[in-house]
Amino acid sequence: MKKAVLPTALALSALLAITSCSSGSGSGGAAADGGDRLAELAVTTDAATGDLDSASWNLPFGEPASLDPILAFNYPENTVVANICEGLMMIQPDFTVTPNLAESFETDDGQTYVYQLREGVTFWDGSPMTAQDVAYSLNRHLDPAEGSYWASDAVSGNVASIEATSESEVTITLKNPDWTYNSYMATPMGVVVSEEHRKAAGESYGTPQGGVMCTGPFSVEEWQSGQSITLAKNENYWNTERTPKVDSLEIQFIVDPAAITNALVSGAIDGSYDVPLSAVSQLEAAGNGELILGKSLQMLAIIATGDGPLADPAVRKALWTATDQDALAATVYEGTARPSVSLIPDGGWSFADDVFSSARAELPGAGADVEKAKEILADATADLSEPITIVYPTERSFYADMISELSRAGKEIGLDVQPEGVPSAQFGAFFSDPEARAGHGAFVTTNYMDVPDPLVFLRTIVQDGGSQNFSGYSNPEIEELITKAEATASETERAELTAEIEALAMEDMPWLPILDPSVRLFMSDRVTGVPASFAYLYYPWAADLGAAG
Amino acid sequence: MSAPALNLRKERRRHSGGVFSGPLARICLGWLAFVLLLAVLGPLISPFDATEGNIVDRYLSPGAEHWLGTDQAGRDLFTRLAVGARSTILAALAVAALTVLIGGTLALVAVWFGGRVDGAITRFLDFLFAFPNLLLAVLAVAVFGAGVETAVVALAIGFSPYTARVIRSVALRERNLPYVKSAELQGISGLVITFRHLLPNVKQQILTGASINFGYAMIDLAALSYLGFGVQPPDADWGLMISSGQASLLAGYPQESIYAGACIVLTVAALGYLGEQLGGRRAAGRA
Repeated sequence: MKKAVLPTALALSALLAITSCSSGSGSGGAAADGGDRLAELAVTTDAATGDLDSASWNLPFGEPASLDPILAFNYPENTVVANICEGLMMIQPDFTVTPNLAESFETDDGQTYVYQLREGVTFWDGSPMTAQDVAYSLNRHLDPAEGSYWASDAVSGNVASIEATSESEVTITLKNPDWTYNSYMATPMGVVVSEEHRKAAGESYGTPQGGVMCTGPFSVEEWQSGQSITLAKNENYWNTERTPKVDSLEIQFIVDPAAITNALVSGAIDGSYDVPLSAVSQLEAAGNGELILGKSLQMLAIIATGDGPLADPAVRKALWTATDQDALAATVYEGTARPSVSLIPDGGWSFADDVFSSARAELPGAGADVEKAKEILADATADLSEPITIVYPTERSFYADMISELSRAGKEIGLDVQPEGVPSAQFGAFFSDPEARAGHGAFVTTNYMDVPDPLVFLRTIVQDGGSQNFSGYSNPEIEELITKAEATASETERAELTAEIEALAMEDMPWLPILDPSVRLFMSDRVTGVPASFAYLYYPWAADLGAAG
Repeated sequence: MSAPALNLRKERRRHSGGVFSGPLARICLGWLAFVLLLAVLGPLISPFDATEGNIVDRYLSPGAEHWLGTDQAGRDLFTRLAVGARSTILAALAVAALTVLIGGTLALVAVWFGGRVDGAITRFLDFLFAFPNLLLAVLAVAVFGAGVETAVVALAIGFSPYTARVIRSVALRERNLPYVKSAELQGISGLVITFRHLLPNVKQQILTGASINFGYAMIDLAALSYLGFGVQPPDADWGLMISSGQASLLAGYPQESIYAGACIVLTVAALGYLGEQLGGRRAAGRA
């Protein structure tokens, strides 16, 4: 001990002196050219030029809990399931929805959907995909015993029947017309699995032991719990235009930001979507690959629970108006996100672009306008002396930085905003358990659109009983518009009605939209081809992966 | 004042000077004095709030306004380090004091009553020994919720067996000395004998153990805060600063983690060295 103390002290003192002099001001940092980088977000990357025996990828959000498509409702599960199981429809990198396992579909009234199935599609074991498999797979979302995470009142609750109406045809009948329904066939709600395999696997279905049996371009070769999932090329894949270029893809589950960065920079892993924010500057400077910003369907927001001062719309709007979103985008998000002005993520649509874009342009921004915020707050009826707690998962420290800005903004207008960190394991309950939310004013979310249809996303937030309406928000005018929009066949007219809902929602602001992040994709120089857009959650991105140059 | 009393005082002075003499001891004392000054005066002289910052001021270099620069949320690092010193020192002090209270009480009760009481308390201490301190603290946090109070109580319970065992061994020797028997025969109550005679004679061991426990408590509390079980953001704490500085480390701004880490290492090393000088590791039961 006597020998160790003095050298240690001297060494640390020297280190302190060095660090005190070493770093420059970072307030601008990587954000300096943020505006330029975000002007044209990438949709795809350069096409692969050759095949590879193997490649590796990482899931920064950890290991999937299951590979059962009906339980794929989060980043880890969807990123893997997208490559092994397919839906009747498919979201393309540019967010358009095209036929996939269905060759075509028809609906005259938005209530009855008839899907003509593609011929020659087989599961990995060579058995043919039948209309019965399709009807069985889609009906799993209606069976409470299966426990689909995709079951909801608005979508699966609106289904009257799903039947195989011929050997190559499946008919879905809804209780009420919904012209947005078809887009769900591009998500796990439209994914087809082998009925025989599902029934044989029983309780172990979707686990490393039971596995799944699908039609996708890759099959599951090996799942080592806690280590990795290895996907193998499906040699008999029906779509010859999308034959995988990689024979074997190892997907790892590294979640520690430093470990992810080291693995990517050293080339131990070929690529990853949504690389950690703290790694952005290091990955931009990496000599072995490129950080690509892609078009996204994500939104960083604060969800009011309906408790405390944030239950008052005037308080919500005032806090949002006082917040410096530009600063958050430039600093916390390192210039990889844009300030959000709407409850629809920027560019989150594949039709009626002129309608959605012009509606968005008319919405006021937050702009860190303290005086305007004070004016709005003057109409508040809530007890403003009560603190506003905003809950975040402690493992994601950038949320704490974001709430720090909200605290500063709140203080400027007389609100006491306090962050409250909870472990990630506990945080998940805020999305499902009203008791977990009780007593807290709000919680953070990096939310995303399931399908690139603004009406579908908005109704989860603002519709009475919507799956993400956590504060019991209800607006009769919005209810009426939603019903009308769902029954409108014309995409342009539906977009106009949706834009009206968007404007009304921003008046009441049940969620405080903060930023629209871009997809942060890093790939080593060795590989290329995957989509850069957020489509990777439902699109078989690994099938496009191959050798670069 | 009588001549023997004067001699005794001189002897004590000489003894004390011997313990803390030498350049290393002075460096340790100097560092601890600096940390105390930082904790007491730092937050008073700083114009900044430890929990508030402006995001546009993040990662500023050390300068005239922000002496140690700013963190990822634009908060002043000097202020956070000073306020962190307060919370870190106070929490470690609370653990050390509670440990002495719990461990000392158990040890003295065991020694005084002996027999079955001694046996039962010793078995209970053995049971507590089976749990690593951090595991006990994490369990307590899982049951009672995260926070520094829970961490302090849980760590104090975890540290108690070490202190109790040392105090028990020394107090047991005293308990069997003739002067204690003589006091008992004079009808003096056990409580009075314990407080007036036993306790002063084990004071040295208690102080030594407490100073070393203080250092261990500081490390464990920092570890708990680092893991998210202790002090909660946005409050300042050295362990928490190491944790929150991790993301900055990756982004190329290591100051926050290094400042807080260096403070913990130097303070624990200084306390450990002075504790050893005071009575040696054996007194704390961690040989």
